[in-house]
Order: sequence, then C-alpha cells, then structure tokens
Amino acid sequence: MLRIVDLELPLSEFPLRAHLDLESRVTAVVGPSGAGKTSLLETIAGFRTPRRGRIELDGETLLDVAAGRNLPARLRRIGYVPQDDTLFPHLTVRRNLAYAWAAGRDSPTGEFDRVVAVLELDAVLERGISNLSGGERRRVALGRALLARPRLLLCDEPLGFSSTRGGRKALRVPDQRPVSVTRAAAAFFIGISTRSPPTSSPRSDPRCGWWPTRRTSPEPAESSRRIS
Amino acid sequence: MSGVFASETAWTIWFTLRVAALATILMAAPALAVAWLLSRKTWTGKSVVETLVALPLVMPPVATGLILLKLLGRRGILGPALERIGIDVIFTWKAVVIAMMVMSFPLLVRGARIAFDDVNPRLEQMARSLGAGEARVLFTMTLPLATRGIVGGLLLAFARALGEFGATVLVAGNIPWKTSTMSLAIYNFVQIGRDDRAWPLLAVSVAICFLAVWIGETVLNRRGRLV
Repeated sequence: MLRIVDLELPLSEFPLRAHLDLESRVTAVVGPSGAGKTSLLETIAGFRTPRRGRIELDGETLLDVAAGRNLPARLRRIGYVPQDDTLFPHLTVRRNLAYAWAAGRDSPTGEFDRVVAVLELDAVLERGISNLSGGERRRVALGRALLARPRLLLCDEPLGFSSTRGGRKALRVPDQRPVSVTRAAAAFFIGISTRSPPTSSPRSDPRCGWWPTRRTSPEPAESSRRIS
Repeated sequence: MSGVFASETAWTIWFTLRVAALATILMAAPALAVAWLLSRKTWTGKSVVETLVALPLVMPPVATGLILLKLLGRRGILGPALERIGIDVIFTWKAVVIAMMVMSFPLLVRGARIAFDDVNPRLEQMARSLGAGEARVLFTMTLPLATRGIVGGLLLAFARALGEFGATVLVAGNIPWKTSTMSLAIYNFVQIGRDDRAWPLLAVSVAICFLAVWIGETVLNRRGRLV
C-alpha cells in the first residue's frame, strides 16, 4: 500500500531517513519527541520535499526525487489531521468541514450528514472555531480530512484525544466502517504517538504495525522493522 | 463672492476625494501583488524591489515628483509615446492620480505584506491537501485572513493620497478648477493672504484624514482578537 524507499529529509539536527513497506491498514509511528514523526507525515502529505527518496501509494508514485516527480499535495488525496488541528479560523465548523467540497472534491449525497452524526458535531455546526473545546476541534479536523475522501489518513498524535468519549468514537471511525464515508479512509491509517506501542492502539485492527524512528539515523532495514 | 467661494471649495473637496479614491483603487491590485510576492516567494532582486517600493516613503516628495516629470513630460522617457497616442498627462488630473498612486503605494504594500506574513502558511497547506488549487488558496485563505491588514493599508494609503503635495505640484501644477487638490488649494490661499478661505479646506482635510486613520487603526488593532 504505502512504500517509502530510501527517503532522506534534512532536519535541523539530523537527516531523517525512512525506508518502509506497509501492508497493514493501520500503522502507528512511534518515537521520542523530536524523532521526526511529524516531519515524516508532512513529507507523505506533500508539505515537505525530501532530498532523496521515493514514495508510492497503492502503486502510484507520489514522489520520486531522482525522476523529478513530485505530485502536489492537492492531488495526493491524503487526509492529514495535524497535532494542532489547524482549523480555518475565519470559517464556521460547517464551512471547515465542507472545504474539500468547495475545493472541488465531491462526495456522495448524505456523506456530510453521516460524518457530522458519527463525530457528534450537529450541535456546533454553525459555531466559529474559536468557540470549540479541544475535543470538538480534533473531531472537526478529523471530519474535514474524511470529507475530502482521502486514500490515506494521517493522524498526528491521535491518542491525545482518545481519552474522551467523542474522541474514542472518532478514532474508531476508520476501523468500524459504520458508514460508507469512512471506507476510503479505512483503507489505510497511520496513527503516530510519542507513547510506547501498547494497547491503546486502534483495537479493532489486529494488524497494527509500528515503525520506530530514531534520532540516530538507523539503517534502512532496521528502521522498517514492524511488529504485527 | 460667497457663491464662488463656496463652489470652488466644494469643487476642490469633491475633486480631491475622487482622484484620491481612484488612485487608491488603481494601485490596490499591483500593490497587493507585490506584497504577496514579497511575503510568499523568494526571488532574485527581491531586496532591490523591496527597497524601491519603500523609497517614496522616505524620499523628498518633490524629488519623486521630478522623477515622474522626467518620465511623463513631453521630453521625458514615456511622454512622447503617450503624446503620440493622444494621452496628455502632465498638468492634468491624470498626473494628480499618478502622483498619488506612487506616493501611497508603499503604505499599502507594507500593510498588506505584514498581513500576509501573519497568515499561517500551514492553513494554506491544509487547504491544498484538501484539494484547493493556488487561486482558491489565495481567495479563500490568504486574502480573507489578511483582510484587516489590507483594509487598514488601503485606508492609510487613501489618507496619504488625500494629502499629497510635493509630487503633485511638480507633475500636475497647481491649477484651480483643474488640478488643485485640497493641499494645493490651501497653499494657494495662504500664499495670497486669504487664510479665511483656507480654513474650510483645512477643517475638511482634518476630518477626512481623522476618519480614515481612525477606522484604519481600529481595524488593525482588532486583528489579534478574532484570529
């Protein structure tokens, strides 16, 4: 599904290297703070351009530095839920959620209502985003990413909001497949966390891979180790 | 006598407002484009353009006016070409507009550039990853999020245009009923010892500029609250 080949991204303190081949639907990236987890997600999403490497998703080459190919973020169809939510401050919750539609990505009828229902956002739809709680913000960010019908969903620090009832429900969305809207996103899901791999991972998918990152750029083979 | 007095004053005020508004509208798009390029892109010669754009803020206005005169005058660089296609600029209202545009341009560029710099690039990235193209990012993210700074810059630029004197007097002259703006008319009246006729213009200038700056400052100061 997701293949990253000999990726090298210069960070301020060390070059981030990644080499992995992921088949599992849900994968978590773990590593200490500053290990480059967010940078890795941003590179997959297309926000950062690495110095070397290749990224493939479902057989399509998103990036190939050697071949000079770099698919812009807008064409990658990768949902990204950043750590700080990055909601659009001048738009209501409804227009945040509908942004992908306004940008030309259509979804089947009823999709919007289903996502809003699953994420329990009915009550806050017309609010500005400055009037939301932390949990509500996270759910809006997740809903916004889902409504863009991504092939791959990247969640930065998703365990941070898994403690709340709504957050737990939101996290399970890609796994439970309760509604058709989530099926595209359910194909693949990367959750990343600074915590250790353990039980708090999305439970319903037993094939949960872990990709440890390190400050000391590890050997490609070692860094792609997965635990199933 | 008082009829003429009233109508010349009224004409001058109306003329000044119209040319200042026209100058602000005409220079808005290029100023915003330059501000955006300075804020979002890196290119060769950027620092030179940055300096050139700010130059009218600090140069003597009369010197700027002289440059414009040498450019647009009959024996200037662009003058003959303009004359051939039948456009007469020097000593007309068009020269007033051009002088005002040049002098107020830096104020909008600076205001808008700061506003663009304040827009979190991550919001633009997020919009792209949701499928938005560059034009959509500009019109749904960058410009709306920078609205306050842009409006503030426009108002300050308009106020600057209203008061323009040095550059205008060189390229447009100071012709009553033709090119005399409020500042030029005030100067005329004081020169011929008719301070009494300068007072109304002075009062109107103060009132308009107070309003423009006050609205501009209010708009700018509220920036932090919403975003």
